[in-house]
Amino acid sequence: MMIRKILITAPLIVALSGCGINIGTGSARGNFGFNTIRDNIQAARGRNTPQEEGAQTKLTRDVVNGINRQIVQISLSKYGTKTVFTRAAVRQGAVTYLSPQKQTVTVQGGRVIRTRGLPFDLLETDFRNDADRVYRYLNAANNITELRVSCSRETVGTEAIEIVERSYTTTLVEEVCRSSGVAFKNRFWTQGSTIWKSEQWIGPNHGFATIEKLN
Amino acid sequence: MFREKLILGAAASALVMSGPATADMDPSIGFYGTAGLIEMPTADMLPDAELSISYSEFANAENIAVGFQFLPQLSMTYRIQRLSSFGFDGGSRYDGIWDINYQILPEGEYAPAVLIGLRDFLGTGETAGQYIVATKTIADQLKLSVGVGWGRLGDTDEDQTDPDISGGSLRLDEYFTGDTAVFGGVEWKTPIKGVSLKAEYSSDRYFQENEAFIATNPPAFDRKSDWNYGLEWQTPLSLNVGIYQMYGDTVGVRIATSLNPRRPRPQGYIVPAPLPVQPRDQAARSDLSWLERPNVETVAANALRRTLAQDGIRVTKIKLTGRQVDIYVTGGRSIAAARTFGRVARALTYVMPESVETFVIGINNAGMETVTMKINRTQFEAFELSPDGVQQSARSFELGDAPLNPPGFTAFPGDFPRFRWSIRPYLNITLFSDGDQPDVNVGLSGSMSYQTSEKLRFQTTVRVPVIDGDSDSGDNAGPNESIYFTEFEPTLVNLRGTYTTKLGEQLYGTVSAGLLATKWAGIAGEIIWKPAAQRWGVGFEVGHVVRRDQDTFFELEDEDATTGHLTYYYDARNGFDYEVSAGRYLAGDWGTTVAVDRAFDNGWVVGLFATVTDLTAEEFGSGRFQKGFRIAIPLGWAIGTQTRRVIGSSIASTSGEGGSKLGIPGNLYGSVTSHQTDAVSGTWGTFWQ
Repeated sequence: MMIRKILITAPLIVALSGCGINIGTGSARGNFGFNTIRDNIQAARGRNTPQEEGAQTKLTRDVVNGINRQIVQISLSKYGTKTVFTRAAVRQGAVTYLSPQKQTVTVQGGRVIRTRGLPFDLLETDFRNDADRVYRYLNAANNITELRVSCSRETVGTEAIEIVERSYTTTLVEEVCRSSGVAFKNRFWTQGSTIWKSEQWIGPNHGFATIEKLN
Repeated sequence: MFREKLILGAAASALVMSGPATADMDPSIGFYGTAGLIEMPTADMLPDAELSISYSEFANAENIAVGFQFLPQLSMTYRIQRLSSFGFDGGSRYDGIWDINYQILPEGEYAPAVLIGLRDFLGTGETAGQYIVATKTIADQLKLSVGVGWGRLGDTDEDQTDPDISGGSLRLDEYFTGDTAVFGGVEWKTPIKGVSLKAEYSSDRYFQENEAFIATNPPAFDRKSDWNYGLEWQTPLSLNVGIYQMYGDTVGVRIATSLNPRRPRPQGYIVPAPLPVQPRDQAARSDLSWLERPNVETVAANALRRTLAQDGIRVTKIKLTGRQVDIYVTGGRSIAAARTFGRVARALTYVMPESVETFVIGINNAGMETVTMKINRTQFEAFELSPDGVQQSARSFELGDAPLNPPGFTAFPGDFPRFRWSIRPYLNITLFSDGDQPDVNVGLSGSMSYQTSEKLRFQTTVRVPVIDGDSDSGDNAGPNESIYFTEFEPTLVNLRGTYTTKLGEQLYGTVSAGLLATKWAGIAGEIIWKPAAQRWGVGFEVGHVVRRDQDTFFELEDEDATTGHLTYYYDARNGFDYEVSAGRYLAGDWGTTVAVDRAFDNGWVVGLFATVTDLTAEEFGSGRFQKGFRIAIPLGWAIGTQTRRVIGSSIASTSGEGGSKLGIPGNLYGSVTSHQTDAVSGTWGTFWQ
C-alpha cells in the first residue's frame, strides 16, 4: 500500500544523507505524501485510526479544504470508480498524480501523457503535432501498440459544472480524434487557464479517464 | 483511502467508439476441436494463436480436444478419443489423434475460404480422413460450407484398418486416395443473442461401427439419416454449449471454450506504478567528494534494498566510481524481462549521487551473471517524459554479455543458506499408444529446497497420490473402468543437488547428481554457449544414470544408460523458437528431436515436438516416434498480477523409453536467455512501466 512507499522513501533519504551521499534536489523529492491526505481526511472526520481504510467515504469540500497538497479525482469509464490522486512529482511541466493503489497518471498541459500501474498502460504520447497525435500503449501480449489519430478542436460553449460541492462556470472545449479503427471525443471544461474537469481517451482498453481538479 | 461510486450516465455519450467494419460471424468449433459444423469441417480458421479446448460426445465416442491456431492459416489439434463398447470384448479404446488444417485461401468479398485438412494424419487409419472444403458467409448471419472428403469422409464401404500398419507415421501415399464423397452444411446466427443453428450433410458412413467387424456388439447407433442438426449457445462465460440430433437416431453434445494470449483478460496485468525518475541538481554533478566516504557501496545497497524489495529484486553486487555505477541484481517479480532494468534504473536515480552519469545494470540469474545494460542517466531522465522516449531508449541503451568475474565489486551474497518448501496439488496424465486407458494421477506434491548460495541447491520432491487411475493397478480392459483411491503411498520423485555457474563470458553450465528423476538416478550436466545478442545458441548435455527401483525410495536396479545430446537453439524473433537436438536417448537409441514453440512476450508458449530414433516400430510400439505438445500459461496472465509462476503442461504420446530424454534438472537455457536481447527487446514497453 501507499503507506509503505513513504516509509521507503523516507529512510532512503535518511540513510543516504547520513552517510554523505546526496540524492538530488529536484522538486519531486519527498512528495509521496499520501499519509498526509489520509491524516487530513481522518482528522476532518474526527478519527485517527486507520481502521476505515478501504471503506467508502463521501468526499466533501471540508475534507478537500483540509488537504494542503494538490489533489485530483480520477475515474476510468470502464470501472466507474472515482479515486483521489495526489500530486507526487512535477518535472518539465508534467505533473504525476499517485493513487493509494499505486497507480500514476501524468498530465502535461492539461493532457494525460502517461499512465502507470493500470492494466494496459498508456506508455507515451506524442502530441507535438496537435492535429496528428500518437498514442503508444501496452497490449495483453506485453508488446507496444501504436495508434495514430487525427484531431480537431472546437469551443462548444459555456457550461456549469460542480465538483465536490463547488460550482464553476466553464468553457467546454471538445476535441474529436479519428483513425481508421477508432474515434473518440475528449472534453475539457476550462475557466481561464485552469482546466477544472476533463474527459480524455487513454487507450482502447480503458476508454476515458475523467479528471476533476479538487483544489 | 476513500472511494466513491459514480454511475456514468450521459457522460458516456462522449464515447463514439466504433470498431472496424467487420461484422463477420465468429467461427464456431465443431466436434473435433477445430472450426467446424458438427462432425464435418468448415474452411474457417480461429483467430491467430487461439487455444481451444472442447469436449464432445455422441453414441460411443467421446473426444477431448486441444486445438491451437499455430499460424493464421494453420491449426493443429490433438484429441483423446475414447470409444466405449469397442471391439469384441466390449472394452474401451483410447486414442491420441492429431488433426491438421491449412487454409489455402481466406474468405474474400465474393470468393469463399478454402481449406485442406487431414484428420488423424498419424493414425492407424480407422479415423483418418482428408478433405477440401469451401466456406462463404452470406449477409453476416449465414455460413455455407461444401466439401469433398476422402478416407473416413469419403464414400467407403470397406474396413480402412490395415492390421499391418502400425500408427504414428505419415502415410503420404494414402492421403486423398479412394472414393470421394461430398459433405456440407449451413450455420445460421439467429437473432437471439449467442444462439446459432446448424445443419450438416455428413459423408461419414460409419461403416465400421455400423456394419463391419464390430457387429458382434450391438452397433453404437443406427445411422438412419445423412443429416445432423444442432443448436449452439455462446454463454456469457466464454463457454459454448451445443446439443445435436445425430444421424436421425441419437443425441450429441459439445462444450467448447478458448483462450488467446493476445486477448486481454478482463482485468489485464496490474503492476504497481514505478517511482518517477528523480531529476538531478545540475550544480552538484561535478561534486565527487562523496567518494571519500567509507563504504559507499554498502550504503547504496542498503538504500536500494527496500525500494527494490517491492519488485522482488535483490542487489548482489555493486561497484561505484565517480561517474559510473555497476550493479548486479537477481530476482524480479515480473515475467517481462525489460521491467527489471527499468525498476532498478529508477531506483538508482534516487540513490546515486549527481555525479554518477552511467548506470550499468547486470542480471544474476540462478547464480549466473548473464547480461548487462548500459544506461546513460541524462538520456534516461529525458526519455521519461519525451514524446518518443520509449522508442529512443530502446535504441540507446546497450545490452550485452556480462563479463566473467569482473573485478572491483563489493558483493552482497544474500541470506544463505536458504530453505524453502511448498506443497501443491499435481495432476499427471499419461497416454499410451496402444489404446489403453490413460493413466491419471492426482495427488499432493511436496518440495523442499536448501540453497547454500545462488549457485548450489539441494532439492527433493515427494508425491502422495490420492486418486490413481493407473491402468496397471486393476483390470481396466473390461467395461468396469474405475478410478482408485490409493493407499497414500508416497513416491520420492527426486533427491538431488544442482550446481549452476557461468563458465565464460558467453558460456554457462550446470551439473546435477542424485536421484534425478522418478525413474533414474545418476549424474547429468549441460553446457550452453549463447551470446546475449545472438539469435542462436548451442548446448551439450550428457548423463549417466541407473534405473531406480520403483517400489522403494533408494534402491537401484541393474540397468544403466548413458545419454547425451547436442542441441541447436534458434530464436527467429518473429514469435517462433526452434530447437533441434540429436543424440542418444534413454533406451540407447540414437535420433533427433525437433521442437517448435510459438512464444509470446507475456510468457505464453505453445509448442510442438517430435522425436524420431533408430528404433524399429516393433521396439518403439505403435507410436513409432514420440510426438506431443506443450503449453505454458503465465499465472500472471491468468490472474492479472505480477508473478513469474507459469502453469505448464506437456502431453506426449509415449511408449516406453524410446526417444525419451533424461531432462536435465533446472532450465539452463531458460535461465541464460531470460534477460538476453530477444527477451528484453520483446518486452521493451515494460522497461518504462
